[in-house]
Amino acid sequence: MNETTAEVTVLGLCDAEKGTAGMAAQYGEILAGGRAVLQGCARCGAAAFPPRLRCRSCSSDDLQWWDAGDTAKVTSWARVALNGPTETASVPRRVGKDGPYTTVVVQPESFADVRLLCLLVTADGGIEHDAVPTSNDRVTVRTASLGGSMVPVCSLGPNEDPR
Amino acid sequence: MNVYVAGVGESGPVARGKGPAAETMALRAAFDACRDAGIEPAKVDGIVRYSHDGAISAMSLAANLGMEELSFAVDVPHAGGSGAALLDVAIAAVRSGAARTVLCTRTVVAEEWLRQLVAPDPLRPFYLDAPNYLRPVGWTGYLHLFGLLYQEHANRYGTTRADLYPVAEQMRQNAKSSLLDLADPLPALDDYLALPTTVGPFTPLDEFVPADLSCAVIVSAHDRSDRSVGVEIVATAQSQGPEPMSWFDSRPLSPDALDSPSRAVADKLFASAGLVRGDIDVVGLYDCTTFTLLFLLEESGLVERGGAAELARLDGLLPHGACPTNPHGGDLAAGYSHGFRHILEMVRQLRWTAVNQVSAAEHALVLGPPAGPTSGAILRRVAL
Repeated sequence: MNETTAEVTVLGLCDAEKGTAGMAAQYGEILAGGRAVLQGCARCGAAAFPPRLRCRSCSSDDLQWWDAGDTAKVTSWARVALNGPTETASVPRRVGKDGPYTTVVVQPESFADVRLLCLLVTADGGIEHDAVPTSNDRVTVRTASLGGSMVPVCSLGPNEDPR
Repeated sequence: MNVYVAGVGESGPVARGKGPAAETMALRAAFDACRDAGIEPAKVDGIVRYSHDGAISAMSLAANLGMEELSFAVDVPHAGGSGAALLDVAIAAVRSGAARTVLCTRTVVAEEWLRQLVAPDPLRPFYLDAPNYLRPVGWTGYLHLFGLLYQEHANRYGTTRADLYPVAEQMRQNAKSSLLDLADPLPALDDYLALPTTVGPFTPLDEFVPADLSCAVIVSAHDRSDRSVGVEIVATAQSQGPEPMSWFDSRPLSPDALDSPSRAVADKLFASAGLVRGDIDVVGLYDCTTFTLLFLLEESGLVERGGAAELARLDGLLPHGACPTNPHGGDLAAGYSHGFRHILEMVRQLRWTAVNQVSAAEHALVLGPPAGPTSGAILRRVAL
């Protein structure tokens, strides 16, 4: 299901009746399509991430998964300079075994009120070990396979807004 | 109806692994608080706990304290934001008549807490954002939350790791002055800056120090002790912040991540108390990391946004400083209490019986972490 409206591309229905765990499973399935996604409300048009069981704006349960777009702006990041868990940092095995790595909070350019957390990768899709972003950097958002599942990732650039 | 912190008590803090059984600590703290309040433990009729607290149930506490009745029992689920919320709930019970004498309690066993800290908990769905949506891309837990807030703060105000150093230094200094410093020694600034970071800007020296401890507070409309001064709870407040769809781990994903629920709590407190920021003499700020404390100095409104680093550079957190903060050394240096021991310290400061006493303290502010739900309280020294 790929239905494009004037503003958003709908990638699937977000079935809140399946509960938090069911929605999370759906999220994983939608990511497998290769696009970073967020939750959108079919009734009022509000977007959200992480997804909720009702729309953050109008409380509707008529929810969808929307394409987050290709580009976003960096608002924050955290570099993890560990190769495994510590007492207070539960480093996931899928990324931690060959750190350091950086997670980045990005604001999709088409959704000013939403932020996603992405893993920073190189242009060829490998985990970025060296470069870190700076505030307001533009990044390219997509998904990549990590530890057997698809996750949202971003890479630095393009530097210019093509619009 | 005026309501008071009529008694405080504690067991520990002691270094991790050195404490007695969790139930033993909880009971010792509870008996200690009753003694401090001048009441028989049997007269306690309400219990308010952190929901994270697995030390002892309200039922078992009631039985072992010999309570005549347990007419009110509530667990508050706000994690580190629960501290002053316990007082908030206790006051509601006292004012409604549901209970007359309420025991608020938090016991922390270091090893158990460290296990809880890195494990998702399906019974607390607000934590499921992390395993479902954040951990797959490398989320590591609480350090990640505060690391992302730090970076956004740094982007806006130019905060650096060097700004965290005075916080770690002054909390250790306060703990030493309070005769209970459990933290690892801090090296010179250049050596600190040369340490490898773990997550975001943090090194292990920027984190809370695990300890075994229990804290207890008695809330009542009466202070039956033989003291001539008491501590009135002037205002309490809770908030999930301006963006109620985000909580704890998802806080950095809020468009207004730096407009924290702690700011909302502080604004409510001062409006309710009819006080201004300048009336506050001493503050107890949640301090799981150095940045958490720095950020809360600003979110309390005691310091302008972007101004906390300068305050800390000028030794402003020490008892004689411009904004005396956690004179006991806080959770950063005196043992992790989930923010609850700050209330005990503020009560002692207002009684003028603290080891590291702030001169002539009349009003104290307690504030929980800047990721909601969180809570706060304003306490006042009063003549009895």
